[in-house]
Amino acid sequence: MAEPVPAVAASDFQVIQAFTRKPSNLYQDAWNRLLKNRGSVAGMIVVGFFTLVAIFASVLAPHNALENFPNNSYRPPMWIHSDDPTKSGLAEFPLGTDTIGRDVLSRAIYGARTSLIVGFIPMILIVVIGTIIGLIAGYAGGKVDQAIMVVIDLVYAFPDLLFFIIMMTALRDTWIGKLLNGLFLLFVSLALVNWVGVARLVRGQVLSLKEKEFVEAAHSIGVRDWQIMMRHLFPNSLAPIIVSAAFRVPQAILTEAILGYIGVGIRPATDPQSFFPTSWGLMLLEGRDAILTQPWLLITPAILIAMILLAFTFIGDGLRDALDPMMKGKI
Amino acid sequence: MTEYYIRRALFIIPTLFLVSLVTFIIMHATPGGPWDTDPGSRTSDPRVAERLNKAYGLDKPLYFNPESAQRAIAEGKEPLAIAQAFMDSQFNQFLANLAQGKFGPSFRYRGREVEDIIFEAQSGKPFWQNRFVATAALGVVALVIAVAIGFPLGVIAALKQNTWWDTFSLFFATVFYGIPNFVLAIFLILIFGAGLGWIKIVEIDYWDNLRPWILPSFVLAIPTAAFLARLTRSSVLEVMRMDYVRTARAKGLAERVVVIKHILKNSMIPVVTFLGPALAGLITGSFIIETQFGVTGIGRLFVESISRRDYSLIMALTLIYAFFIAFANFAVDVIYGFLDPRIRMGRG
Amino acid sequence: MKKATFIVGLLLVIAVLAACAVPVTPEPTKPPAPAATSVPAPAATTAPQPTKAPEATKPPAPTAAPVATGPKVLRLARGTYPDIIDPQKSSFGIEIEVLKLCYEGITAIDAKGNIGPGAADKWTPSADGKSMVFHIREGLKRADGTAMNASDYEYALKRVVDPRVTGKQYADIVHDVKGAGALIEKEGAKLAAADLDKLFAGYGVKADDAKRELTVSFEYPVGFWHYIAYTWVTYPTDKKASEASQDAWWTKPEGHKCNGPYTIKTIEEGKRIVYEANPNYWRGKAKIDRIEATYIQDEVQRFTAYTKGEFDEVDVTSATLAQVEADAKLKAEFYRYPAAITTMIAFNNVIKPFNDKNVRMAFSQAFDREGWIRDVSKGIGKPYTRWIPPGVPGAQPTVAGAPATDAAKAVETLIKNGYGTADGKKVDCAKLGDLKITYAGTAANHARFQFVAGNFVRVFNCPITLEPVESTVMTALTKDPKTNPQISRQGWIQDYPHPQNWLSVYWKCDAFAKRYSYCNKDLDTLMGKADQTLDFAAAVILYQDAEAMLLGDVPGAPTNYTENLYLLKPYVIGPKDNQSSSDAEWIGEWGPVHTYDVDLSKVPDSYPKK
Repeated sequence: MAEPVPAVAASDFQVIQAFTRKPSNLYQDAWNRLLKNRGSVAGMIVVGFFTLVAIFASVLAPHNALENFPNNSYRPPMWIHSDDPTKSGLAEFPLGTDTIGRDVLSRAIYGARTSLIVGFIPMILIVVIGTIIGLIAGYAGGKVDQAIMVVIDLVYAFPDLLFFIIMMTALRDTWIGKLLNGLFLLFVSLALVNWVGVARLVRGQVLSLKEKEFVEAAHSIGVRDWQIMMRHLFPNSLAPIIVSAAFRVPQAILTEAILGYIGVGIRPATDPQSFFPTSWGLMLLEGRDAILTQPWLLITPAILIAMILLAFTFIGDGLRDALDPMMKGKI
Repeated sequence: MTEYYIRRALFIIPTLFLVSLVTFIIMHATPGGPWDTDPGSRTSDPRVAERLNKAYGLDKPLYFNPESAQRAIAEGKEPLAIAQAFMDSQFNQFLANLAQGKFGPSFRYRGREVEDIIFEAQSGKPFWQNRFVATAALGVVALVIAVAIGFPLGVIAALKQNTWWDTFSLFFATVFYGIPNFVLAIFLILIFGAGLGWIKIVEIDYWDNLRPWILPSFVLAIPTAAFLARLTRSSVLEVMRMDYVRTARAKGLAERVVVIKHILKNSMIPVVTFLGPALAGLITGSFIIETQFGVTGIGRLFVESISRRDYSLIMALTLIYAFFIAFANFAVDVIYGFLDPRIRMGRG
Repeated sequence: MKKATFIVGLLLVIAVLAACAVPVTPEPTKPPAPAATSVPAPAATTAPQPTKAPEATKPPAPTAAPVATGPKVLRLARGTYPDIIDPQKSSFGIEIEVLKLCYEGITAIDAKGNIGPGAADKWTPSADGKSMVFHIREGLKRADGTAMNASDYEYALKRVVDPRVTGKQYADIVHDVKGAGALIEKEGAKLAAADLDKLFAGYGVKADDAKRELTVSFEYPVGFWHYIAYTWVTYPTDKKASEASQDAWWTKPEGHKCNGPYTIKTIEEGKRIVYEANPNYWRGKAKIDRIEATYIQDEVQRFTAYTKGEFDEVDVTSATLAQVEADAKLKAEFYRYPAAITTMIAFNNVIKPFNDKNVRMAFSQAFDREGWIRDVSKGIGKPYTRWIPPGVPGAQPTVAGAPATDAAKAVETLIKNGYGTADGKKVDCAKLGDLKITYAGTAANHARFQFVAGNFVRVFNCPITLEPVESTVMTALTKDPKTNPQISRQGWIQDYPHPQNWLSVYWKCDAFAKRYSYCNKDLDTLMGKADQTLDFAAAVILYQDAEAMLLGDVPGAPTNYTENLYLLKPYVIGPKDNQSSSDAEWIGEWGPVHTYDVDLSKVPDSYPKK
């Protein structure tokens, strides 16, 4: 190591700044920087669009996502014509039909609901659990910290995928597994495995922050512990949390697809009135079986998933850049 | 300091114990058992399952055996024998086997020891050509590929921040990342095998050739490469803002020297420390790739063992994986300490 | 700046290439498999088989490519790898397929389903039908040259009931043999040597090596045991190898002392099994020197590899059928014929409303069999309302079976039998109660069962729940009568082409029927009578009566029989002429494998040279 890294980085200066200025200004600046980032803006537009589609799915979808049209399976999208009238695209099914003759467009529209929910809810759970535990561990230190670290190390050492599979297999036939078509179980499993990453991140931040003058000052004037945590430590560790959160969303969407592939994904809906009739992950799985016969069944969900991933990745990277002065090279 | 590392290393043992206990608990809470495989087969006879349970010790209680202890007391046995009878359970049997370096008999591959399935080469092959080595080799090759792709992508993105270079590198990494590997795998097989004819669609001789490993390790490497690209980008960006870089530039050093000597060197720290867990992740995450590409490794065994409820195999593989991850985390701590003496112990 | 990034990239690529070599360095130069161990292919075939052997050594046509002279290889693309390759323990088709290449039973079966001589050249049932004597042919040898006798088969038949051997999944197949039940019962129990001897003394299998005779005696007259004598449980497991390790002897190729058309050369677990022609096979050495079975889970990958010439044979599924039909070249290599597999919508016969026969009938009428085949199976299979599939003796494909598909009649049936609304115009869903279909939740199944549920909802306009469970859980639920699902989809794959295997083995009160809580004492009696009828023709008529009685009860609604669909390269001679409805794994699987051949003058360049 020829070049020693200076002990006090520029970021410390920024933290002090953050303390002296009103925090809102800092976020205002970050927001402005974010808006200048082309990628992030595009990402936010995409996410916004899909969110609207998900909310208004029942209005937008031409058909019910579960209704099968007899003698209409494996139709290509409407712009593809074939001499065989049973294999030609129809305007009635703009993106074609799937293996048992369900409208792909409608399924994609309804699938946005599940996939976005699968992305967001676990993310929120992970961030909330991870932040609280990380704050406590970092701030309390000593025995409490050690005990929490034991748990964190244990969860870290557990192969995640094994945990998902075992949880989904063990509990899928209980009432927990049936809640929200199995979505609830998926959320819980994802949260249980992934909170440790956030907790470690927050704990690291807090460990360095709590030695800072402003925390000592707060202590000396008798501010309560929880107030110090909420008023000082939490806002100052927010930046890495936000960035990390943006990357959790696509991760969860992918995990749902992969679990489906192993056969332990969410349960399919049967009730035509169901709010979550299908997911992009499930469509991907069904499409994979038809890769030679009707590739559009695979291409449609693959493009959708890639778009949402890309959108979140751009938002995440944009956030990282926008909040850069407060960051410490963490993702 | 040494004492800290020793303590840290020894800590792996209780971690592994807890991992196996948790696995054991969830595993046995899962409905279905190792004999429930084929609805059409004549195992329908509950007596067959009963007999097999007895033969494989599945009729014993899971954790403790008070019944057998009571019997021992009634028979007026020694306290030691009573304690032994009390401990005569499935979990303790697993621990006892483990103490002798064994994982017990497999339930699915009946008549075979789990350690043989994992570590024994096919008959007539050199000893190292076994399932474990196959998976480990796949992981190592994938890691190398991930670094070869992810690191340069990240560096370029950072050096050209907010240009089309940056956007492109991110786009490239994410598009591949965005396609789940079970789709990407069959896609690439069809493109390179059926379309271009560069590879065989079904590769057979993995051990005697290099070619069959390329595609599976590439598919396996993609998510890691994407993550690495982002990590590198953020790390380089941070170093670029450092005073010493500014100083170096101000001194009028050639840009090449500044980039290689100052920026890259210092931005490697987080990247290097990431490689340990990354390798662990690659080794544990290869099951889909192994199935698709016909690699006889432990990843594939792992998923199958869960769906077939091969309890002893599940325990063995979980432990092996957990060991890898715990060891990788420990290694990261050690490396970190060496790379950056200020961070020792402070890190989480 | 530009240059710097380039250098970084380059350095890394070099580093990668250097590092790549480390973990996967190939063995110096190990030649793959040794070249053919035997003399050129078509030599010395003393086969008494009348099949014409096409001359492979025709004077080579004046084409540019020199005719391959290497060994003849048949490359099979297969799906799931077998779990257990032990004649007395295996139960899956994928396992039996392997065993069948390596071993031959006491009798043998041809592609038409006729029982003929195997290891035994003749057999005689006793007049009362309570025993059967098999005469083992003279000069019978294993592949390694060891002479065989009646005691080799006695060992196999004892091993399948031996309490010391655990996990014998098909032991029940010999339960008609005297004393078999008592032995099967004791599996895994620790028995004193004397007790064990006593049990075996009462067991109805006795070998007389001097006379080369194997005598099997039964509890009651049995008319079909020469069919059982062909099954894999009679395959002569090597005594020495298996007694050294009852559980693991079969994992190494050395353990298998084959007496069938092929020997097992290498076993690459999970991946590949290679067979070589058995020089001592009594029908003559096989013409194809080597069979390579490679296991690939993904059906699309398997299929594509076949089209690229990596395999000579592959199965066709609903995922690949459309490709075949769209391609003239593939269509010429495509074979499609009925399979001996019947599927049904099974009902739990004691759960409301299916405890009422009329409801079962209505559901049989409601199920859209044509639509199922067309939209879900993509045209594979044929709608069927009977249980015994075409091709099995006694099958009556043209006779009406369970109530046929007719949506209007289905509603009518329910309304007529008290499930209608007060005005008698619609089905009263409350009277039917809750309806639930349970299935193994794989990706393909989700779509399938959404079709089934949609079908019933459309006809009856009553809600129905789908309950996907993990596949192992599904098996566990199905097996236990207490948890057997209200509605599920089940099927039967035959063990041997005899109506007994379709009726008595499945529908007797204590057999599979127990799962669905279906028990008809009259049917039991009738099937028992047929089982004990020694005259085959007379027995078949009794079985037909039994099937009619069974279908009248509608314990389940048969929906279709399936089809075998395979692709076979035109240069492979034989398999396509020996199609059998039993071919569950590859085309010609049940034919005279040793007569199959490869026309080396027609193979493409991609065909293996060594």
